[in-house]
Amino acid sequence: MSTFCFVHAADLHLDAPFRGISQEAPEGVVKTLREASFVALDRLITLCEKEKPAFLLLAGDILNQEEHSARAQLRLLEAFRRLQTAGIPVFMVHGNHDPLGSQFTSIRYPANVKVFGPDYEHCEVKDAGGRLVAIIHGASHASAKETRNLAAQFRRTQDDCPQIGLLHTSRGDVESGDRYAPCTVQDLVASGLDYWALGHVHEACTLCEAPLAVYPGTTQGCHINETGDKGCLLVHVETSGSQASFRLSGVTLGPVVWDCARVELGADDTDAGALEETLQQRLTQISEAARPDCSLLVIRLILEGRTPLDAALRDPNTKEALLAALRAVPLAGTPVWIKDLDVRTRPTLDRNDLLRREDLVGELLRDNDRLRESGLLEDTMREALRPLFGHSRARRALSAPTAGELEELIASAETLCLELLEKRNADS
Amino acid sequence: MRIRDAHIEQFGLLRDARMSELPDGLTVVLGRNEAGKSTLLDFFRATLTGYPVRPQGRDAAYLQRGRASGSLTLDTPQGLVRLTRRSGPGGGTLALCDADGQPLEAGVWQTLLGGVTREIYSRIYGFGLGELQNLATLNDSQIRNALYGAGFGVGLHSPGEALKKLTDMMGALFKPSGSRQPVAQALRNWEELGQQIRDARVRLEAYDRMAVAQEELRQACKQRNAELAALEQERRRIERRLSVWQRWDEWRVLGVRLERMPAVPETVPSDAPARLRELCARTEAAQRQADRERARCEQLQAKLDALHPEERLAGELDALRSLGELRGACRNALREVATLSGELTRAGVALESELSALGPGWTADTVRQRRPGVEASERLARLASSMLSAEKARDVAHSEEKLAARELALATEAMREVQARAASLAREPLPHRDALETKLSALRELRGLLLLYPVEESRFGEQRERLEVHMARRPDTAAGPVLLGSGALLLLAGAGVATVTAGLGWPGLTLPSGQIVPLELWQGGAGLLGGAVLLALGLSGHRQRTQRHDETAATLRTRAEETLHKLEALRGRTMELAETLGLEEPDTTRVDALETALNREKERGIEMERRWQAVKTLHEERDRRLARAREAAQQAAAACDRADEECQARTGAWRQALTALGFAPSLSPSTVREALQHVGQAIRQTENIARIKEALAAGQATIAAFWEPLRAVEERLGRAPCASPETAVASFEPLLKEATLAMAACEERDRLREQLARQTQEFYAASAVSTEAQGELSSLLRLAETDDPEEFLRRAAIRAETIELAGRREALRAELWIAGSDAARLERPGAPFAEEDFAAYLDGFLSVDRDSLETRLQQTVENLALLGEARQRDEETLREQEYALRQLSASDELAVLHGHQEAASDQLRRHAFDWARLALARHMLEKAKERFERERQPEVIRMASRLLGIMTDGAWNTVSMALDGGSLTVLPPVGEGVTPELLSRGTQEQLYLALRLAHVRQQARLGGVFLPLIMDDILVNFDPERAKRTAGVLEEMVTPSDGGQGHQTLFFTCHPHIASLLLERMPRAALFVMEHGALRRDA
Repeated sequence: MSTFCFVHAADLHLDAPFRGISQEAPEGVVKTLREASFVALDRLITLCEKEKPAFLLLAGDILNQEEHSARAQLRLLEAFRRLQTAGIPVFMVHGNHDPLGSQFTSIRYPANVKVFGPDYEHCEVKDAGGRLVAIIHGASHASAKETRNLAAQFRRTQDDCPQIGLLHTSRGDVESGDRYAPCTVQDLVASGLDYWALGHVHEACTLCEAPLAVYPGTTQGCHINETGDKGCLLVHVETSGSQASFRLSGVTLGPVVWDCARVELGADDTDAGALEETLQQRLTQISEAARPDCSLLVIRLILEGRTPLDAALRDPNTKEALLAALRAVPLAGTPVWIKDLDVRTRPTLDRNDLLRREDLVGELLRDNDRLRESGLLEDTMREALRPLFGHSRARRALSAPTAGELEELIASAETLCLELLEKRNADS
Repeated sequence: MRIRDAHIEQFGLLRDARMSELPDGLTVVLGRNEAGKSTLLDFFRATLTGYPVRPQGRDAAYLQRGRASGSLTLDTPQGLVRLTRRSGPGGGTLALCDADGQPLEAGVWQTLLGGVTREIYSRIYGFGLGELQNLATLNDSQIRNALYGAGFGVGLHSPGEALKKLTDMMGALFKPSGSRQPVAQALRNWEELGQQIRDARVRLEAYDRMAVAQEELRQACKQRNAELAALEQERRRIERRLSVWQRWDEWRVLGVRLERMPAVPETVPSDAPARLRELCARTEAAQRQADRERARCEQLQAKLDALHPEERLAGELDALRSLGELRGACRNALREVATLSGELTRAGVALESELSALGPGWTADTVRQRRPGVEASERLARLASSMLSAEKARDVAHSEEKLAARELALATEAMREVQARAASLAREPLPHRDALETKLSALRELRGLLLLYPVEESRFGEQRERLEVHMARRPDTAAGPVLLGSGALLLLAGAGVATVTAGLGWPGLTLPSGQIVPLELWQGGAGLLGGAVLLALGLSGHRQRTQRHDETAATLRTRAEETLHKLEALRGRTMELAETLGLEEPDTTRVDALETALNREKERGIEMERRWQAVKTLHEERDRRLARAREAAQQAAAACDRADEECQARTGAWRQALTALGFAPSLSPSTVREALQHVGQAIRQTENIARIKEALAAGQATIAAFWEPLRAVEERLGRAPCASPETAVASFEPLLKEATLAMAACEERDRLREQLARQTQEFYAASAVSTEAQGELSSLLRLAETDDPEEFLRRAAIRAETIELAGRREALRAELWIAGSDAARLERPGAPFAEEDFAAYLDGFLSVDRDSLETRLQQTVENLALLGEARQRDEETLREQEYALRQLSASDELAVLHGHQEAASDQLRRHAFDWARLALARHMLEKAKERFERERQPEVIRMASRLLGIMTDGAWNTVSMALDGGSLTVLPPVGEGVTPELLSRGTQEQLYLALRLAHVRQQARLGGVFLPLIMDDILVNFDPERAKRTAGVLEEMVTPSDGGQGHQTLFFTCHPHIASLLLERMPRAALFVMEHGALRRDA
């Protein structure tokens, strides 16, 4: 029986910009974000230097061709040189964001780095004594829109050692917008390989158990939808004859953590000052609960629930003042940057009561419900948004609201109509 | 909601006006012009919906007259409520309370109003002719808003305004062709960043290109450096060749010059000028030094000659100095001797005094012998102190004994005094307290009875009088007999008429005037019937009245009897108490007097008790005092005895001690103390005298020790010696000073002599040096075979130049030798280089073309410069390339731009979503409004159409409103429709009244809002027929329908016929007449 370990990482997206950070972000926050992917890379290399794995697998999207960053490629070169000094080989495939041919040719990686070409091939990994440790199978994306099913070409060799597939791929049997070198679980099984080191999905997950096909997730989240700790996998392998077992350990690398903090408001929440205090306390808790090696928390505060403060919270000035006050709260723990304040509250009025009204308010709500029941609501509302979202220039910069966002807009618009139509008498 | 009562406290010309018990349906208020009808309408508006915040026009006029206020009692779904409103800031103050007077919250009123504002109420519910007519002047959209502004829902803003607001807000964010709106700016920013990103990508894509170009340039630089090295080598070779030729030429020139140099002795030293300068300087310095030494010698000699010291006096200086040390002591001794002599005399006198104080036979020896020792003195002092203490204690004990005896006498006297007082008190009688209290109690009761009796007596009198009056007043027989009499007369008349008409058949009664009054049978029957009825009434009434009278009389009689009994009881008790108290006539005066006396007696008794108690307390206290005094006297006597014994014992010891010391035993301690003091003083004086004598002797010796030697010195000096010690002391100082000066002069003389000798030596030395220097100078000049220093220097210069040239030529020869040998080695490696080879080498220079060499050198240097510049340019370019590549390597420009673009995208998205929210809201509102109008409009318009049809008797029976915001259209049953402006004034007003009433009914049906309708003379432009029909419409409004309730309506008019019209139509309506601000309900 023999044991060894290797590190599996993917989707580093070095030097990729963070999405959804406003121009009001302080310079320190912007700088931390800009360096975050490099810090994650540095931590990855340090992990390798400490754990001394047999090899490092990089499963694509290491760079971002959109940024075309020489700095990123040079930092990667520097990282590879450190691994060369440590005697750790690197096996890398390219993905849809860093296809073959998108890098600077003048920057040449050292000899310990094997970059798989557009065609399927496999390489042997031998230890210091020349003994065969494992075989790595891999293929890179030839272009940014790779449509070939590369996984279907992978086949186990006759060698009696752990055989690992390295590939940047999306699931072909699931209806989704992106199809990059799509494959199916059956393709993975049919290859006969023991482990699939995959890349592309930014959330760590296991695609199948036999063979073990794993996405380690991205090493550093880039936007608010990529919340929580991000990192890589340290895989311990035990081989006994032709059998190999894999034990996975997740290692957190990303210094910046995205998160959403939801605060539920109720009918008793009437004091804006008390709400501000509650949010401050929540921020303090979040800051103090962060792990020690977290450099920055980027938070979206979501206010939900039916509350008398709804109208005040929807006022742009109030919302802006609250956000500015919360951003100014001094925190002793991990720094926190509040990306935005998402007000999803509703007025305390019961919608059902409003529906029963015979006036214009009730008519408006009933109209919307009728459209929703008939399945025409979304189309109707999207039509109303066409002047902007269909604008010849704007549509290049703006993507249409998602279904969830549209639903939220509709609810918010209903509240706005209510505010505009309702008024109070003189005697109040 | 219905108004039940209205109270106008103050409102315009209305003051304390009331309207009560208003019916559910119609109330008509009739009043002339300026009666206050419009003011009343304004009152209802203000009270129901609030005073205007900024009053203008009529509202301002109302409030100018002072604070307006009033209240309404309303019948509401929540029961009766009372609403009071007063004008004031912010729309006035509202007070609401329920039927029990419990206050209600203002929110309750809002609920009851159902969201109807002042504006809505004034337009729709409580309006006058002006409001009705004003509607006609509004444009189409306002008509719609006026109609549907409240029709879209009670308490809602106009949807048109909301739509406009939304459109404005959307336009502020985004316009398709706009450029200044936030969306456009964010989009422009995004696009600019996109362009910057593209430019940055282009720059970054040059990275590979620049890396290759850099490598090529490096290779080119390497090649150029090799060329430069070769040229440099060539340049050095030519320069070396030129340099050698220059040396050869110089060597040749030097040879020519040497040949032309004048001959000078070779003995001229090379450093001749320096040596000459040095020797000249040294010679001069030596000469100057010798001169200075000589001058010093002469000075010293002069000083020496000027000194003439007195040696003999100087020889005595030591002796005088040693005497000087004694001078001070001698002076002090002289003073002390004088003082001590005086002290000796005084001590002798004091001793005599002490001895005389001790008594005859006391001498100094005696005192020393009989002086007690320290121990004996101390014992004597203790015994004296002890004896004195015992005497003092004895005296204290005796005085305390006296005080105790005195206290005993006082205590005894005090006891006798208190006993006498007690005996005096015993002789006074003590009043009985209980008996006094009993008498006082009876007295108080008697007083109460005396006060009560007149009251009861008065009551009895009243009751008796009332009874008499009642008995005197019989039942009213006036009514009974009247009824009976009338009944009887009527009966008779009836019978008479019946008899006449039926029996006799007369047609009538002939009056004296001849007129015949027709008579009928029925008239007789009526008379009979009426008479019977009157008789019955009279009889029954009389019986009832009599019965009531008797009952009352019995009651009065009973009461009077009871009062009389009570009086008798009071009298009896009074007499009893008077007898007990011993009063013959129980009246208040006597009672008061008796009470006063009894109280006085009671006080006396209390006082006596107090005095007895005081005497008793005092007796006890003095008894205790007497016992204490007796005991103290006994103790003091015993203490006296003890003190006496002690005193005797101590006195005996004292006397024994005196005897032992040889003193008389009868001496007192003070006397003994005094004697001992004298003894001590005498002894001290004796010792003092001895000390003084000793000091005197010492002083004398000191004086002699100074004076004698001084006299000897003076004699040796041949001077007259001092006659006395005092003069010796005075003359000593000048003598000493003189001797000191003499000694100093001698010492100076010796010093000068020594100095002169040294100086002379130095002079000789300096002279020798000068001579030597001059000799060396002469030797030096001779080396140049001259005596003239100038000539010497000239020759030395020639010599130096010759040497230099020769040396230089020799050095050049050596260099040429090396160059020649190098050149020979290059040409013939390994071959020796001899002298003849050297000569040939030198001769070879004669044929060298220097100009061509220099030309070649210049060309080479120029080529080097060109290549150097090119290399510099390349290096510069390389540095730039390296910098650019480094910049690109480290550049995060693209990442920054992407970050900015993401932020711009985020901002654009936020603005877009803000716009989207507004757009969706507008879309929803538009659609809902369209549907609402499309579906709801017919109902209101239909209703209005029907009402208009009723009012116009079918002349106009259809009202229509365009959905696109068009105006109203009114249609006849047949024919084209017209807009309201084309209608007559009256028909317009009928149209708008119909629309209002239709709206009111719709709101009531949908929202359950039933508010009082108030109309102020709105039918003035209606013809009678239409006015009548309109009355029918109003009747329909006030009549409950659909199981609900009707609308309470108040109609104001100045036209009686309109009031009559309405009242005729609705007889149950109430009518109020208004005159000069006062309201009066007309029955």
